Amino acid sequence: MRKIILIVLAIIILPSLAILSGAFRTTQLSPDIYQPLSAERMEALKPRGRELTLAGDCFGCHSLAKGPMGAGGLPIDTPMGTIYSSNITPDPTYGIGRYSRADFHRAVREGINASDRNLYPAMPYVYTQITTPEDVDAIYSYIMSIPPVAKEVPANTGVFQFPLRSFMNFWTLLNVPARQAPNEPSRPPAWNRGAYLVEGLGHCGSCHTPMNVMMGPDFARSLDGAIIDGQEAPSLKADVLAAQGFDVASLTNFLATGISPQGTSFGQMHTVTHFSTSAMERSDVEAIATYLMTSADGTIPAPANPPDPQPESFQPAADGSDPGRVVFVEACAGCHGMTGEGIPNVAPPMRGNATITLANPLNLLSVIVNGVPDQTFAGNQRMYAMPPFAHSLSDEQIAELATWMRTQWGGHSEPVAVAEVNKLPRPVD
Amino acid sequence: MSESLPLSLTINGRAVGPVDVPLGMPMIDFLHEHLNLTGTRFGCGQGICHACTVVIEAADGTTSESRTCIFDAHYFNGKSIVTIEGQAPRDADGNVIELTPVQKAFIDNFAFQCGYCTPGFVTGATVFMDSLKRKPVRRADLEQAIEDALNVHLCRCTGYVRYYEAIRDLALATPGYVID
Ligand code: FES
Ligand code: FES
Repeated sequence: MRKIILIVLAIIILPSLAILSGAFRTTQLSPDIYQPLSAERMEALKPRGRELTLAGDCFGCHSLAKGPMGAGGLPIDTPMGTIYSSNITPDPTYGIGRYSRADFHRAVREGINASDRNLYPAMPYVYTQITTPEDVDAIYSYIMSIPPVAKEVPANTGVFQFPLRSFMNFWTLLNVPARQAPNEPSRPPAWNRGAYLVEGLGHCGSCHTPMNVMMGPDFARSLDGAIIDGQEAPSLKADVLAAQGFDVASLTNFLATGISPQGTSFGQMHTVTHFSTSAMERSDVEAIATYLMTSADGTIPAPANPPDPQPESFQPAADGSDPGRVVFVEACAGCHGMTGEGIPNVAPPMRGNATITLANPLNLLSVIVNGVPDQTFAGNQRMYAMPPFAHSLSDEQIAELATWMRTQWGGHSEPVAVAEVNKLPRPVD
Repeated sequence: MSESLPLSLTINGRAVGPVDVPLGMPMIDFLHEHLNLTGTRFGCGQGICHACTVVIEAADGTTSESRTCIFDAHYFNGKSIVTIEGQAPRDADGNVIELTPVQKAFIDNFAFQCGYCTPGFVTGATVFMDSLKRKPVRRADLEQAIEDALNVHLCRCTGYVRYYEAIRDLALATPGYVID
């Protein structure tokens, strides 16, 4: 009996305790980071830090929509409870004012806070870990220079209010492979810069890479597209982007403005184009587009033209009308135009719109059911709010509408099932 | 486009149709051209100013507001709507007996100047008051609730203050609409 206990102890409990205590968390950090940066060095690094902070969209999560920059408090809902983003202003009490250079490096590169506790992976250290030490210094220098905000962040709820942070050692061991920035000397500098930003600070995979069962990124399917918050974060694979008509120039334009012939950014992506990519330097945005548009074999696929109307739209019902087209004319054409041409600064065009060309109709249905709020874009552009149609169109009408729109502008002739509409979450009013 | 479809709906309590109406005709054109109900205002024609709104009365008695410039006449098929002409009660000869509380409040407060936006504001404020009847707001939240409800209505003359104050005073004066 004693022997069994000892074996159990040896096989399960001891390693578990070792993991729990972080014994397997190796550090890649160099001892240099324990030397504080000089004031002059920090001043010199600030502009570079600002650009990288924008690339990381740090304030996208670490600020409330209309709240002070960096003061945190944004609720991040998970099935297990709500995590509130932290205050990353240099306030000494509520922010990270007391963070040393080393503390900051550990947070960004290892997901460990200044009190030596694990950050929850809502902080995308899975991605930001590949950031170079010099760049982390630059971000540190910039963030320490923004206005401090003495504002406390609400306590986490659900399981996150309990002392669980040690258990993140298990999660990290299983989900955070030691990653390096892709470095391909044979590829142009723009590709390498883009790879560094996309796979690192930009943390595009946080939404666009599917999750495994532990809610960690499934790197085997990196940037393959995923469902998040009831909408599809589409695949960012070069062939998929090219099929939607993107090339490096047009994808750069989309990221720099939020507006493109493929449609305007909405949902979570609007936060990205609004706060991050539209404020970044053009060369960095172009680097991101270059990396994403480059196939595994190093070529950049040619952009496709918008799909031609599919046969279904030419086969009207017996009375001469197509029910989906009738719904479009009645409910949508006032803004999106009789031929889907849209109205600038009011409603985007439909022809070539990626929300319609995507294989999965989820985003199209989600937008019809829930609408899109008023949005502003770079360069004083805007789009007017689209109302939710959950209450004014039946699920059958929405399915017919989506079917017709997809045959007309999406290149898809298979019908959208009413069941697809039934199962969508409805707007709360 | 010349294809027409039959349209039936209720407007200001009166059954209209079935009539053949071209698909693609905005509701506001149907009101103006077919029914001579010209009180609904055409402003931007792009769904932004909300001068063109009408009340939609749902079967369960709840009301909502809808723009008529961006939605087709057929979008309203089978619905019951109230235009500005249908707001104030009328006698058998069609003469207005008295204005609605919202209309009176706007006049008492000198809420509008040129009046182009007013039919939309009457519609929006009427729907808002109706929502307070079913779901009162706290006094502290009243101003914000008014702004949330009427924010979409644009007025080029007034600056909104008197419109909003008129609705605030009316809500406060109506028993049960504001709590605390
Ligand atoms: S005219 Fe309809 S919203 Fe302006
Ligand atoms: S009173 Fe003139 S537009 Fe409002």
